Amino acid sequence: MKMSDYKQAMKDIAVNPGLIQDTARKMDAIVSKSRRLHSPVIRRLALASGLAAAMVAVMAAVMLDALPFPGMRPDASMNGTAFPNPPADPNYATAAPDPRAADRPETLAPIARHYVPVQPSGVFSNKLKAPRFPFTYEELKRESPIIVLGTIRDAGVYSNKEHPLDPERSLNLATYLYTVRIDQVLSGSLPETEGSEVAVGETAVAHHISGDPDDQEQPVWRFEPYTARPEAEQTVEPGKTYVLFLAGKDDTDVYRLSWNGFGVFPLDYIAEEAAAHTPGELREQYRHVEEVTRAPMENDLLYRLCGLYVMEEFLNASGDIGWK
Amino acid sequence: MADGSLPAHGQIQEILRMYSDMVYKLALSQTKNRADADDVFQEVFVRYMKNMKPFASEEHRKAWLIRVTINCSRKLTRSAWFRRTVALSSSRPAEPAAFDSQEKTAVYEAVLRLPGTYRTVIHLFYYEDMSIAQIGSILRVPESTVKSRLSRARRLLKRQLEGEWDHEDERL
Repeated sequence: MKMSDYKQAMKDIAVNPGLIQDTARKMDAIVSKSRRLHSPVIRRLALASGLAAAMVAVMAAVMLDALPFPGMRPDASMNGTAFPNPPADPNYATAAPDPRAADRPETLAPIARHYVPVQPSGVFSNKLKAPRFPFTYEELKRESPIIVLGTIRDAGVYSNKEHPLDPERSLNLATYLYTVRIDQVLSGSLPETEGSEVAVGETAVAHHISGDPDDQEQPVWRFEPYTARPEAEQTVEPGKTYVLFLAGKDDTDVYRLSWNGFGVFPLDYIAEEAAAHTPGELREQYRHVEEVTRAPMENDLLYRLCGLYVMEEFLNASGDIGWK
Repeated sequence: MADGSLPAHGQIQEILRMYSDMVYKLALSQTKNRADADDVFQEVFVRYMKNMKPFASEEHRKAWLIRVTINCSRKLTRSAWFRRTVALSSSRPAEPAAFDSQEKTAVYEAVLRLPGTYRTVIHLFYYEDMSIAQIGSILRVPESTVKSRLSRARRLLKRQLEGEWDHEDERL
């Protein structure tokens, strides 16, 4: 073996054309924005609006008798899901009382302590990389010390108070947090008892959803879970029951999925798959995909197969939705 | 902007054509992971567009891109997010790569297992074909330091690959 093998190996690696295209778009957008900002009219408007904004901020501070005031409002655009109430923190000011607030579950203490709901605005970079996922059910289980059956109470996108989102950075990762009532611990152990509520988190990324990509003055962004799950299962739905594969708690007291963006299986999805296929059928299809294309999520095969294994391992042999 | 004025779309394409390969592969050698290399790649070119200082020459532009790629990669691998990911997954091995020969795979993986400072000099010397003086100037370290890092890196590679290592130091 020689060092020329390293050079040859590196030569074999191609840069993703989609990445180059996306980067070119971002570079073009910076040029367009810079041209606009340097036009004399915009400069005058910016100066005028800056002065106006400063006056408004001072007046608001005087009226609220508090500085700073985040005044953040949650984004309720995801999956039609209502977001949790703002934390009961005296420093956390809301713009107006929400009439739906009375129907919402309380925000869990760890969420209120460490996170604020995300308000998407400004320029966020999109992420191109795909989430990591296991290649087998065994791998999923091996890295999941805790497996629970739980019912989702509420879900929303938050940013960590200690690591606020920074539009200037390429990494704009928020946290998709959901409150889960633990119905049953299927494997491992956790300090909370069955029936109590915990916070579970996975990564969320910003997606550009509308507006001209070259005109980034008012882009519209939405944070979505950073997931390899099938399209219909990318977000979780309050009221539905799921099997969750967890790694343990992070330093914000939130349980993390063992495979970020993967190990959350709705009970109804598992039941539907089990009614349509046997594990043997899917195993055969997946074996081909795994060996030949190394694309475990082709046709959502790995997710579907893991769902069937969950059924086999944790459900009654009869296939009824009654847990061992 | 990089040359002191706003570049046209065609110039942006040209910069990407000339340097995307260099930036991406250096980022990959630093982060050991395609997804992270993607992030570094974008960050480097966005910074390039925001950089207002003009470049004296093409060599100067290339050196700037290399230095920024190394800095962005370090920033990423030291970020809270990266550390948290490492903590959760307990280790962050190099992403497996599939090459058409065992030799390529073995040497590539062995290089990625080297400590960061050694990976950098190995990549610049053997993939970018840069001289020791050029590497020293980009990394802002004396040539003697580059030489000793190269020498230690090769020793480590030899140990990793055991008897299969073939010395071929044509340029030293």
